[in-house]
Amino acid sequence: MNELGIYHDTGVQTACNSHCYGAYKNTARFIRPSRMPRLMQREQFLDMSHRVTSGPTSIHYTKHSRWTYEFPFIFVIPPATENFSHDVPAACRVLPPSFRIGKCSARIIPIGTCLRLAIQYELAVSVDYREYSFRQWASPRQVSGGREIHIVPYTEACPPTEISDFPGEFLMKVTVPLRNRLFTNQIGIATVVVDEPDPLVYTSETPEPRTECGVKLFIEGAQLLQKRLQGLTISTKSRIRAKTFYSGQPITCIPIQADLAERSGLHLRDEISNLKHYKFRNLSWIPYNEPPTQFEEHVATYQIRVIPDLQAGGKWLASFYLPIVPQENLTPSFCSTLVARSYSFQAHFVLEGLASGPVDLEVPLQVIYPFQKQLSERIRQTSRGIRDI
Amino acid sequence: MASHATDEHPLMMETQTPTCSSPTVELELCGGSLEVYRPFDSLEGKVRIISSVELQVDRVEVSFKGKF
Repeated sequence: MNELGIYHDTGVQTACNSHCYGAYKNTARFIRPSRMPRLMQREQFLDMSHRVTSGPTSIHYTKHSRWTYEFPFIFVIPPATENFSHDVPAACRVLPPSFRIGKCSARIIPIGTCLRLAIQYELAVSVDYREYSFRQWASPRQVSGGREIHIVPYTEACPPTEISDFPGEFLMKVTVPLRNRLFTNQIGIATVVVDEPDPLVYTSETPEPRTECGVKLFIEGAQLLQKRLQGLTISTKSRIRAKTFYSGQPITCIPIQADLAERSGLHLRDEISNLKHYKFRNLSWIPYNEPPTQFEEHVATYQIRVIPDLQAGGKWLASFYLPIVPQENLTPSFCSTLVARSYSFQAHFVLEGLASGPVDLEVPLQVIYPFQKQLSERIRQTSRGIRDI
Repeated sequence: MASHATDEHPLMMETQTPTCSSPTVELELCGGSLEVYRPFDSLEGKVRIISSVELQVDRVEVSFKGKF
């Protein structure tokens, strides 16, 4: 059995509207909205069942007049969902993580504006029994219970993003004019280029991971700029953007923002996590000859005048690394049939002391929980736990 | 004979303690409960049924489910 779905919770009892999405079963059968429950639709994508056929391993009768029956069970958490199509990218076959975003409060949020997305794992038990009472067995009855299990899958790093596959999604290079002051003559141009950072890697050894984004700053202009560069301070504000895509229809690949206009039913929820601000001073400037040519398709160039002085001026390059240290634990990047999450790193640069246009860049960021480094630690931990019983 | 033979109980409670003589069902995991489980981890434990009267247990089904 393998069902997938999604639900919206309006926060109050209300009928499904167009944002109440359907579910599908075995990638083929869609459930019409009219057949769905009114408040929320919860569908399964994993269902592992174990029926205990043998009798209880122990029966106790205590002095408090209570009978206790115990039945053992064991499951092994699978690495992937049960039934997936080979058309689905490998990264999307991994078991999605426990996940919950959004809050609903009927007191403060108007009807229809509340969105809550969740991926939830539960260990559930159902028991059929009969009571022995008045010297006879009563008719069969059922009791059930369960508990939530928090799952984080293993995910591996993908190769650096092929930026050309994500038109309009990222901005890797910005060129802006430089002036002494606002509304004065242009004295040069600055080009800021960023590289995709290495993934943020969560392991048992690095529960608070960090990575960094390489930044190159190309300055071209009149010779008088050279003196200004020595005292140039670059102020940065950066943040991590979590992009949660969700859909009522199966997602066959990792969505991008351009898909929002093309695929009906696909939605994006943005969440921002601000990072520490940094200032970079006393940069080491070196002359360069060739201008940066990479990421030509993902460039923002502001109106720049080509002035004769530039030809007689100089070209200087400085580079530095911008730390990326999230303030909170991040869910791994993932995609599943109906919900996917990816991250990007956004950086805003200000060249203090020079008047320039805004420099805002956005690069992909992977958040991964790799398998190899953690497996031995998990085995040790589990073995210790079992021994402690 | 108990008078609530047709009672239905909601699923997914941590533990359930119905009224009167209905039994309580508990799920105990070996080693306590890990904060986070990962693929290939084992979910191993016991179903414990506590009742004030003697029971005939006909079926015990444990399931591990993932839901949106």
